[in-house]
Amino acid sequence: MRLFSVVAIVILFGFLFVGILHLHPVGEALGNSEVLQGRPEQGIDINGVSTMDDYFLRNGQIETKSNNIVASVVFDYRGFDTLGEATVLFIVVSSISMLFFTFLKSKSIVSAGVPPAGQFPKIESRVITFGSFIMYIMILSFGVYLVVHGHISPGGGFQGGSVMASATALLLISFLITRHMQRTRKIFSFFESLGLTIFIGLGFAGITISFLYNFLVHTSTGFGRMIAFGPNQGYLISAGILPLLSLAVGIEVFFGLSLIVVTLFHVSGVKDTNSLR
Amino acid sequence: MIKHVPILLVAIPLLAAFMIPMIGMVNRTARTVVGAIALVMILAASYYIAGDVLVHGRILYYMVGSSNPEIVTEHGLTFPIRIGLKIDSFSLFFIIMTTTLVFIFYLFSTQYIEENERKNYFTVLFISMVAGMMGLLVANDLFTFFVFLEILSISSAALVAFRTERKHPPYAGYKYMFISAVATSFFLLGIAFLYAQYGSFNIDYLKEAVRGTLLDKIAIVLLIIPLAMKSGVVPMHMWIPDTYSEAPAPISAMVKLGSLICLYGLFRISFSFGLSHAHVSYPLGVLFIVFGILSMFIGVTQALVQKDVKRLMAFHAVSQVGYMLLGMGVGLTVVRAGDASFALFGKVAMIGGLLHVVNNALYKGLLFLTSGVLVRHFKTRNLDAMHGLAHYDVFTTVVFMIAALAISGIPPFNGFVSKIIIYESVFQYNPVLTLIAIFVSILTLASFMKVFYSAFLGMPANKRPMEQPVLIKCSMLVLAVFIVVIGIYPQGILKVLIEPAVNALVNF
Repeated sequence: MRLFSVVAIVILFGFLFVGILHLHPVGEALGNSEVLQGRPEQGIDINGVSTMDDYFLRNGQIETKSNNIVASVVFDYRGFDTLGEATVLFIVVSSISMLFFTFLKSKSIVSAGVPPAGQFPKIESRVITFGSFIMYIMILSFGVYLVVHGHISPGGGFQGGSVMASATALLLISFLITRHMQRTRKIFSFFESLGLTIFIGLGFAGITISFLYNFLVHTSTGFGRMIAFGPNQGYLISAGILPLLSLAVGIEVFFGLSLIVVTLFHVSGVKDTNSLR
Repeated sequence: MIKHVPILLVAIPLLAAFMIPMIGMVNRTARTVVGAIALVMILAASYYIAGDVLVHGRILYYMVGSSNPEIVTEHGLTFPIRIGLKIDSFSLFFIIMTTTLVFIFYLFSTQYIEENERKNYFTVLFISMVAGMMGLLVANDLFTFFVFLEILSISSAALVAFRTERKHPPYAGYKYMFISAVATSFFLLGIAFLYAQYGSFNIDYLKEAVRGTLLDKIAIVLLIIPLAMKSGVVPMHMWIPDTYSEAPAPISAMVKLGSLICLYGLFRISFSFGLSHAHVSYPLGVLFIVFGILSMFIGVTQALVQKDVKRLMAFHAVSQVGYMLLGMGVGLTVVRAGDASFALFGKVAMIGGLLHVVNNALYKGLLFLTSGVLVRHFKTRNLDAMHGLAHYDVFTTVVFMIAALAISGIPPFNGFVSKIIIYESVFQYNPVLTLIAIFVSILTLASFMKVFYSAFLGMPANKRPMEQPVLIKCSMLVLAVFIVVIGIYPQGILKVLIEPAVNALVNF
């Protein structure tokens, strides 16, 4: 059996090694490569643009009116995949809630380090509680900045949402929300669903033309504001539904990851898991 | 409206899944009803496009987010820049099968799973599993295919572990999750190879671009092996017995359906990338045949010795996949070799293989549902501890007999039709393969006789069994009716669904 697995691993590494040796050189345009030679019409449009990434670099800023090409790819050209990825997170959160349900409902749980009501926690220090409260606000505002400016500068819903969720972890370790675990979980769950519903609702809003169609970008004011081609600082209100989608994903990721952190923190406080069976 | 159907098939279940946690906080009945409405809507949508796609041979394209979603390459480009969805007869065959069956399984699960707050999450994961299946079936883009494969895997793994109060289900779920994660990472690697080489994810575009170089072959292997693993083909079948036997009954049926959908991906990718080059398609076909024979034989011999009723059925699921692979593999080996042999038996073998897919989904689903009833009644999965259900529960006995005879290939039922088509066509390719297939079928009958004898016959148990709820009875009855109808009148489904599907696959 061990011999078999060694052979399998060797074959696999052979695959990868041969694959890498034959791979197209990084950075070279595909249009000039040997792959497409002899078939010049393949993959080249009338303007001489070759393949997908070239197209994004040349036309992304004009078409989506967003200065961040990554955001325009993630939320516009491949928005449906982003919906799928957000769904993956949603499913993970639902799975964790389902699988640890018996733990969460059990009355005998003592959350890690949280004393019974009326007593002070083990770590009750003004420095920790007040300091983490200050840090909470700072981390949260940084996360909001990342989410809101996702279409102008690097960042976006996933990144900003994760930054905000790390603030929740800070609240947990400073015992600010451990007493209200069930209520917190309900609120988080509600807003997580709400974020995703906003995302897919924006998708359905454009369904007269097509699903996830960037319907706001074709006006001349507001979210459809013109931006110049090339490097510039951009505008906050631009790029059609991109910032809204980014915001929806930000809400979903923030509350989803927070829910995971809160749930697992709660479960880690279960003293005797065998008693639940 | 018809042009939006491809995206609605995915978006409606997703919307329902996102809203269910909010609705479930208010009212539990409303949550169940919303799930059912979403499933009915995709059922209606899939039948709505059936006439256009199957009869007129129309192919529905949908570019998500494009200003004109039906045009694949906009702006005079020769390559698609957005995510493409596509429905042709082959995918529609699977879509109709899936939407019909998931609705039946959902009805079963509404009364089978006990009602409490935890069922909110169950419904969410069930509906997102459906969304994952529909996404796989409509995707014409490898990366979208990967994303929905992940959605399907994660939600199935969580549902397999649903009975967390017992010891084994969490392990089974963890095992399934781990193996799926490994499989899908290799799938992603294969996609990366193709993207680095050709700069696109679109399956239609890649099909034109792939030239059958060494790198292409490596990428195709990396795409095919994970899908074969997720459909439970023998060298990679180690997750099947645990997963199917520990999951609740409707979830076993759903995971089985999910593995058939992965089989769809296997056929789709191997036929689209393999067909254009004979030196790719022939080895692929031989690989399918070898996998098929191994699955049939090893699956059924393992099933014979089982004492656990659900484990036994799980091994039969492995063995039945072998028939489909055998039929499709024979078609794939001869499709490029010469037109004469393909017209003579290759196409018929493929028709048999595809008919076996829908037949297998029907009777395997019914078997898993009846196993749920058995387990709930006897409170055990051990066959030795079961006896005499036929004295009380005539309905379950009859539907179980229908399913067991269908899976063994006894004439008036649907399994016979697809098996005889496969036997006849494969016989002209190689008689030995047919002999093995017939032998496996006999062993299948033997092992189901064992189940029938131990669980249904014998002395009656002392306790009177509870009356089955109406939705559980209805869902099992509908499946049994489908089995009998296809068995008696197979020409209908062959002409309407299967033949257009095979034509679409070969001319892809």
